Amino acid sequence: MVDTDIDLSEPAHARGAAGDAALIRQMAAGDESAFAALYDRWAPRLYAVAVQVVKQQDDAEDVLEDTIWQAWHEAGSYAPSQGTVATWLLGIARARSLERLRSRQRPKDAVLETRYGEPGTASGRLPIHHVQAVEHVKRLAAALRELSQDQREAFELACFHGLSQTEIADRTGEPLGTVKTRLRLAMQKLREQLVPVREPAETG
Amino acid sequence: MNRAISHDRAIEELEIVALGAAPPEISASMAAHAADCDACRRELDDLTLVLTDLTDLIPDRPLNRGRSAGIRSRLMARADADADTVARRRVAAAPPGRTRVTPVPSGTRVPIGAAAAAQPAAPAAESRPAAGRQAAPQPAPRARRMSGTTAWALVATAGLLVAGALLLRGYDDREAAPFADAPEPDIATARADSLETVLREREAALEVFASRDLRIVSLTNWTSVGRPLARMFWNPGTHRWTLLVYEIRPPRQGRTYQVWLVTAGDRRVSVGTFHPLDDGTATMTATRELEPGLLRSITITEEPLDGSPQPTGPVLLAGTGP
Repeated sequence: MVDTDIDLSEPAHARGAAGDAALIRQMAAGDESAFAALYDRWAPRLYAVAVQVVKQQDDAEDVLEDTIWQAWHEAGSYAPSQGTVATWLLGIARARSLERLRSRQRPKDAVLETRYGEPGTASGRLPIHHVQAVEHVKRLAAALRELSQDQREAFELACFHGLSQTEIADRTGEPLGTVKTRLRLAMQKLREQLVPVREPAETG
Repeated sequence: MNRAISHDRAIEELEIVALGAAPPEISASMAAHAADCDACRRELDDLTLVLTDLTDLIPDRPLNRGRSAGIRSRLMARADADADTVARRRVAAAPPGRTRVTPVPSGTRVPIGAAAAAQPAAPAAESRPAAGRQAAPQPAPRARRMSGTTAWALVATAGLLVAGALLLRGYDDREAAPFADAPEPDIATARADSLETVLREREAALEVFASRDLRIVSLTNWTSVGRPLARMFWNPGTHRWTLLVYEIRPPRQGRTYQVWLVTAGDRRVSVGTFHPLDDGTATMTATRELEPGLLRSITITEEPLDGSPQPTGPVLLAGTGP
């Protein structure tokens, strides 16, 4: 008797930074199975980043496809000295998201809500044990809490919602210079907090 | 043209540029400056790392499985059709004849019955509408090898379809010379005018399925019209190809459908043409020798009535090879 359905899936394993780098090398050599594996591993994360910024499913899917396609085309120019594959991919996703966002009009009074994952639902892309991933996310959240409310608001509007400094100034009613100062201070504080956090996540 | 930015000004704008919150002209000037300034480039890299880490706070969003499969399928097809891919493989000098199997997303279930119809696929990136996507597609299954038992089990189902289509004589089967002997496509027209010819062809079509090494390639819809579906059954041992097509609309007047093998080296080799029956089904058989590892994808295009040496019309269906 023939089964009418066959499960042809293979689980997409969390390979870690070394595995990601190997996939990029294989993609640079034209290996489409590596390309597919990269998609399987990174699509949910990249999609999440895109949705966070562009807010619309169709646009986020377009950004996801554009991001993965750009990774395919630029795999040959990726160098580990530039940072991890995660940084590279998320940077592309963020840039594409901002591009898409700015290509269309967004109502000035649109509600922009920033939602963070609970520590127990840490990003699946982290190449470290689940407990460490939870701790990592807790430290990130703690770093954000170190910001003043004004700094955090400005930072979240720029980082997670893709607003420009001018748009933030319009939205908050604050002078442009004040917004710039808040953004700079926020980034400097986060950098101080997160440099020791970043180092363990780069191993693998 | 970018206005140059001083180093002192660049230092003031680093965090804003890293956030993507700076005006475009400032970002462009900073990029130019950072290309020549190691200190600013390092600072930007560090700030980018901080932002990347913070994206870990964003919870993962599950993609609709069908839509994800559509995106994945489009990406694979684009990579396959990309001339750059060919160049990369040449550089990497991949060994010939290697068969790669691409993992299908976790939990994917793929119907294998010959008469099973897939849900419509999302349209190709080049022609998709800006809004109003089609219903979520089933993922396009990769070509896989059939066990002998499963292959024989398909004979009864597919053989009936093939025999019926052949007897109804609702198709054009243009057999081309074997690939190995014809570096340039050689399209010849053959019509089943006699019962003997029909029976011989039916037997040859059934023989495709009698193979432990049977390869199956599913072709999914690349248009925004209808829900066509096709499956190509390939017996590498005998070089026989059998195509079954469902729910395909008639070609435009004066046109026909042509089937192409896209091979290593990005060559398009015609396997033949066909014209569907009124019920939207079609069957085509052909003989074409091809090394199993060289098939990259199969496409169906709309072409002039007598076929074309190379694809000229839009792609209606496409599927990725082993």
